Amino acid sequence: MGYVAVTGGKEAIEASLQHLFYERVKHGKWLSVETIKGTMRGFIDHIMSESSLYSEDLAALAMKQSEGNVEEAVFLLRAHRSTLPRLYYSTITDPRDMFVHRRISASFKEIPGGQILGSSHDYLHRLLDFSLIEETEEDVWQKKLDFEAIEVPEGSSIPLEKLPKVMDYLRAEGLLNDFPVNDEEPDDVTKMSLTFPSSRSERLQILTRGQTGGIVSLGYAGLRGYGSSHPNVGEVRVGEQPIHIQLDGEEEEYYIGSIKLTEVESFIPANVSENGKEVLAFDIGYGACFGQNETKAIAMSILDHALENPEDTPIHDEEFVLLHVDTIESTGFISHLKLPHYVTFQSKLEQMRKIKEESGASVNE
Amino acid sequence: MIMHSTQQAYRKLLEALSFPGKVNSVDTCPNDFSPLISQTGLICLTLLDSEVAFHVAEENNLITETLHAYTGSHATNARNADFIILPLSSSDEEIVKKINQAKIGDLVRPHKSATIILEVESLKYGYKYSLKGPGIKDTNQLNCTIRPEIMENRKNINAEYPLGIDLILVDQQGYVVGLPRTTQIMEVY
Repeated sequence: MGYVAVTGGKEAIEASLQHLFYERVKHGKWLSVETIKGTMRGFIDHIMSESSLYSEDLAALAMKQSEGNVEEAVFLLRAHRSTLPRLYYSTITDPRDMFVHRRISASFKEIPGGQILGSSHDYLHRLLDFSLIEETEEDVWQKKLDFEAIEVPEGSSIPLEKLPKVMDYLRAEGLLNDFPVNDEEPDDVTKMSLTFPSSRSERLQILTRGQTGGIVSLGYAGLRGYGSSHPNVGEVRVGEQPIHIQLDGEEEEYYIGSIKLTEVESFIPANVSENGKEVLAFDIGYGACFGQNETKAIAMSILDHALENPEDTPIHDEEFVLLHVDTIESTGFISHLKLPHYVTFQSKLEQMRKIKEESGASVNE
Repeated sequence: MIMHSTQQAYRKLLEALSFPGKVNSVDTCPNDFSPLISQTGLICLTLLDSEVAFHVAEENNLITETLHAYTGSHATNARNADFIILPLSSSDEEIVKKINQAKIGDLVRPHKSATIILEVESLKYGYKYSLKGPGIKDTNQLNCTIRPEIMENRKNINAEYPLGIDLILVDQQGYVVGLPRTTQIMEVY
């Protein structure tokens, strides 16, 4: 039997799509893209990071269109991203220039510049707040105004720009392995398919746009013993990172806006040889992603370090990690199983029947 | 709308490269790319952007600057260019030289080769060539003013499929013909 193309079903598919569109509107409820953008910060940060497209407006639109389905929203944004022309490339940006919203260290209590808690779910009791069921727009405005009316006590304001990095202090003490700054043009994983061994810039790109759940699971597995990168979080910072571009032949850089960024530097103890002696020093694991996605960025720092130091476990294996954490790759491949596989399955079935028949025949003999 | 013009030009290019030898007409370009033929300008506007690099034969600065200004694409030498533009004024020696310098890709990435946009006097009269290969039922006939030596040179460059160069020909009337690397060309006497 030759290859049989699947035909027909066009009308059935059209009807299915009509059902899908109906699902979104069947309760007669309506949510504006503006409202989503103003209230669904976590979702927007999550999918901007996975789709590697920084646009709160488009992320909100994708959420509306996909009825809040993360996988679908990321798919929509990645598809849209692929149609956009690249007009400019940004210049090198240093997170030391970040306008910090939040910056904490789990390694030092007293960090220069201070622990800045910013806003985080970390300090919450995870109890459902039933009062939100009855919340009105007026309530929202009142809560907003109440917060904004809080007076900042004199002398308590701290500069949030140009905050020094925790890492810099360890480095000054000689406790961190020193590396020269690498400002090479990064390889672009969205233009060239990944080949192994991969470069560090490729690894970081795949990890930063990786599926949040995938990155966190693998990072967790690495911590629990399927890897040997156990970090101390040196610094988590979340803030507005300024982005600049440079036009052809011009010296000056132009500021084009800022992106919300989470950056993590983890300290990982490592043995290094110094003058023929083994001494203990710290390695760095690096994580960074669009939006406030702290768990993902910390897990990324574990995986970054693990992949920099290959070992005999899956978490230290770049092919294992990098080929499986991308949301489009993994959800796409799993979803394709729903496509017609009639012929493949028939041939398997035929094989099985044949084997059964043959073994049955031999028993009867 | 520039975008619509380039979208239509893209469809035409696709058609031209899918059916080698078929003479297609492409619209004139809304911007002035002279001394390039207007249609060559539109094709460049369609294909060039900041992700690719181009080279113009005879180091023509006027054309190079105009292309860079309109497309954001960067000029480079013939060996590194993704697109090589050979204006009508190019001598036969120059054409052969540039074709010989063009990237032909490597076995892992044969698509990393150059596409050559060659302006010719006519795609309706001149030497007679017979074309064979994918996209052509039996054979196709092409009349054009490209000299047989240049076609012979192209053949040598494309000898090791999948390596090679793809040619887009534009004539003074604005007709466009595609000659991908898979097309075998024989002169007919």
